[in-house]
Amino acid sequence: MKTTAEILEALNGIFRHVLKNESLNLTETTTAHDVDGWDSLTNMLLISEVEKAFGVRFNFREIVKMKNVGDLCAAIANKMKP
Amino acid sequence: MSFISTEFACLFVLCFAVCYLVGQRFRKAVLLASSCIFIGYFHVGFLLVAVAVALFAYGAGILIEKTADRPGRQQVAFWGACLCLVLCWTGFRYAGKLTGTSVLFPLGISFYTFQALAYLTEVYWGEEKAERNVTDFLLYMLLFLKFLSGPIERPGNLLAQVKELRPATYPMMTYGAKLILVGLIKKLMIADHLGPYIDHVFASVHEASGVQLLMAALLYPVELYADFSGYTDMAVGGALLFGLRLSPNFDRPFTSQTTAEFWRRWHISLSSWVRDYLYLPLASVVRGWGQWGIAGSLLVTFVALGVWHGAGWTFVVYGLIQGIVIVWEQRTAKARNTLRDRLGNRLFTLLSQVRTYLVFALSLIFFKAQTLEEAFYYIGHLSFRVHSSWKEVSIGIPDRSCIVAGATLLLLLVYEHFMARGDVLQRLERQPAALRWALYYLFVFVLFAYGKFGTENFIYLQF
Amino acid sequence: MKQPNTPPLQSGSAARKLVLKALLLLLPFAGIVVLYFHDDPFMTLRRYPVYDSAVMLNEEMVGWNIYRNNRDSIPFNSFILGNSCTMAFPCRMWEQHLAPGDRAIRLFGNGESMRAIYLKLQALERDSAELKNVLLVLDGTSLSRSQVQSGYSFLLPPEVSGQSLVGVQLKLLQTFALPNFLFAYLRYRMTGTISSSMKYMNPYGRIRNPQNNDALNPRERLIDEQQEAYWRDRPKEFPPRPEQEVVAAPVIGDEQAQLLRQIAALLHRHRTKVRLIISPDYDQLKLNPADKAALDHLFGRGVVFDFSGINAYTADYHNYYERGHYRPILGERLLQAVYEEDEGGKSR
Repeated sequence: MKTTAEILEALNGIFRHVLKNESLNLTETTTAHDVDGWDSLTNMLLISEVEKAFGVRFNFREIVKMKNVGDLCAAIANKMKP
Repeated sequence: MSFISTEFACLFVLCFAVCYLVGQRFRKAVLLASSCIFIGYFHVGFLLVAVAVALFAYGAGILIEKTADRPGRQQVAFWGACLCLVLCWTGFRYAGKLTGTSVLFPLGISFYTFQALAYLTEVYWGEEKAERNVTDFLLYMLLFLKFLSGPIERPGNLLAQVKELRPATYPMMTYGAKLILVGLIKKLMIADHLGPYIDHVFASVHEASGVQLLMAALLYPVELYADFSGYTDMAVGGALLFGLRLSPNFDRPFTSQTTAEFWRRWHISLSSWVRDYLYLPLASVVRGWGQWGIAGSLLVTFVALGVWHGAGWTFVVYGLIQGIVIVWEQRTAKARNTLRDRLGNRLFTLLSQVRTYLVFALSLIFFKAQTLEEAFYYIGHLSFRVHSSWKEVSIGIPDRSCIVAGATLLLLLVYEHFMARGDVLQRLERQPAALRWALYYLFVFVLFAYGKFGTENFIYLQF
Repeated sequence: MKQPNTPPLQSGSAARKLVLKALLLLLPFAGIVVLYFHDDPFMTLRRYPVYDSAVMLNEEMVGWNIYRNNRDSIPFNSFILGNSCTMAFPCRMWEQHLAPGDRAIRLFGNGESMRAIYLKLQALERDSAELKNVLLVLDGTSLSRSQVQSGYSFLLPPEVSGQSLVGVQLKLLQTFALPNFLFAYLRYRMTGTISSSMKYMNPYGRIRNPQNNDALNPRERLIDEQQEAYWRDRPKEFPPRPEQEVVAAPVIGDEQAQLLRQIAALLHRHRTKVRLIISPDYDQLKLNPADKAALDHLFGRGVVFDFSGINAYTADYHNYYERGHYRPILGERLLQAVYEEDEGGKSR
């Protein structure tokens, strides 16, 4: 059972990898607007990597509802509950 | 009726007067009646088709909501309804081509069909409640201010406002009036001065010289922007006079540094539609395919965007170009960042903006040409060689028009630059009355004196 | 937070305020519009028996109105069309070369385009006019103009162009409201005098015949009075001409040819007797042989007469008012040359 902080750190790694930006630092309130290169085009790539990393699967409606990184963390945590 | 015609001016003034005389209870009816008059004025058939589609969407929305507890049924209802709408639209679109007879393409059908599809999708996803009030829904679909050429309104925005229909406040009205003036200036002092001459070159591609082809292609994005954003300003301004806020359609598109960014700033109501209802679902489905999934979804989305504009391979290529360039931009993001570091931010920004503009201008050749052969001929014959004189380079645009259009364009760039920093029109409100009225008189007079009245067709009218 | 249902009076007050302010804003413009409708400065809102004006009128509309005024009393069957060089061809002079009883009227335009000529012919056709004779007075520039130009002097009457009456009047209103016309006009209205600097104003009094729109050029009287001094005192209006003849580039392209074909077909339908004169312009620019050949091909032999270039007609400066227009004494010689074959060959 991962904590939000652990999830956040893992996400940082994934985002840095996918967006090819080593200096990224995500917080719970970060949105696509705040990050260079994170837009609707790369969003799905990120989601796909996140799903693979955490072994979860979101459906389309859930993805669209996520407004910031915090929502993503919460969604991941929810999916990983037994 | 065109927005710039005595008939429309009469209808608008009448509708405005009656709306504010009858009070809240009848306001919706007045707006709906005016909308029906507006649509039916062109041809009663247009009104019948629009009302039929609206009622169909109304019924479908309720059905979809009612079957929410039975997902299988709901899916059938949703996809069935969407299929009907799309078939109806493509039917009209291709009817002329297939049967060889001249079937009138119903005015605005591309816009309200997409609006209906957005509505049904939102209901299906449970984001919006199905509208039970027929009047509200009809007004949402048929509102005359956005009927001709959009913006394509989401239910969350316009339907919600229509239901309440709060009367406009005085500041809203003056803002709307100012916006209408801005739209008129863009249309009458830029687009209409350039339009006929650009059209002429595109209509006689084989007779024009290489440099004339080049000039027409370079100027067309500007004309298109002035025309379409001018229309949008008038639509938005007009709606404000009735207390309705329509969605924005443009956000300084020519400051874009990439084609991807361009499509976030150009025809926003359409590009956000295809993003939310085509691209995101598609990309979500194929997200396991990584970069290829993204690329494929982009291409499909933009080809759909191209085809929305018209039947024919030229529109497919138009959309394809956008998609291919955006995919390429995606893949080369890193290389561009290094180039940015090398050249310095200012220079790189400028070059990127020029490149984006040129890509758009090139794609518009396909948009405007009648056939693929003509488009390829056009591109093949672009040249910088001037055979005779300035008259050739100016593609026949009279000097007076060049000056008026050029000066207005400059003014427009300044205006938009400051609008991005903080709403110019609102800041104007805070200036002393003498200054404001002097400016109003100046602009209305200049518009009247230098505006090109007579060419009344808005380019996006044909969609 | 839902807003309470606002009663009509309260919500109406914002609208009322806007309407009042809008009316205030439009007041001066309303004044201009009222003045325009009251004065009818371009003489297009009402019909007049005579078209004399202190304002430089739009020739297209005046000519058409003169035609409409007189067509019931005068059986017009012969039409002079073309640019302002038609002033060298008074109707009576042309009628002497036509059959007895033929009556002519001049329906010209300043800087006329071929499109305008075609539209006029179509309008005459719609009006069931008898198109027995047509005299076209053109030059290279007119032949190149396949579209009607924009601007006050090129505005065609609604019956001819097919544009709506409202559209045409709006354009006229625009011209009226522009400072360079409006101020000159207001000054004239208040003082009753016209200074030479006033644009769009006509200080010469009567300049057209009210029955057939013949030109009454005030310069003809000046020439009578001043004789040789007339040309001596106007060196700027008679610039030097090239030593060698210069041939112009061809002007008849696909679009122009298509239009000319349509004109020729229309005239052929009515079995019109056509004569096309390429004016002996002062600048002595010769019409391109390709254009002459195209015209001959379209209209037939013996119809097109090219007087341009360096020849006996253009050599003598006394034939000209200024570099743009020639006098009826030259027009007479041209008509004699044009109808020479007819008159020499057949018995009258």
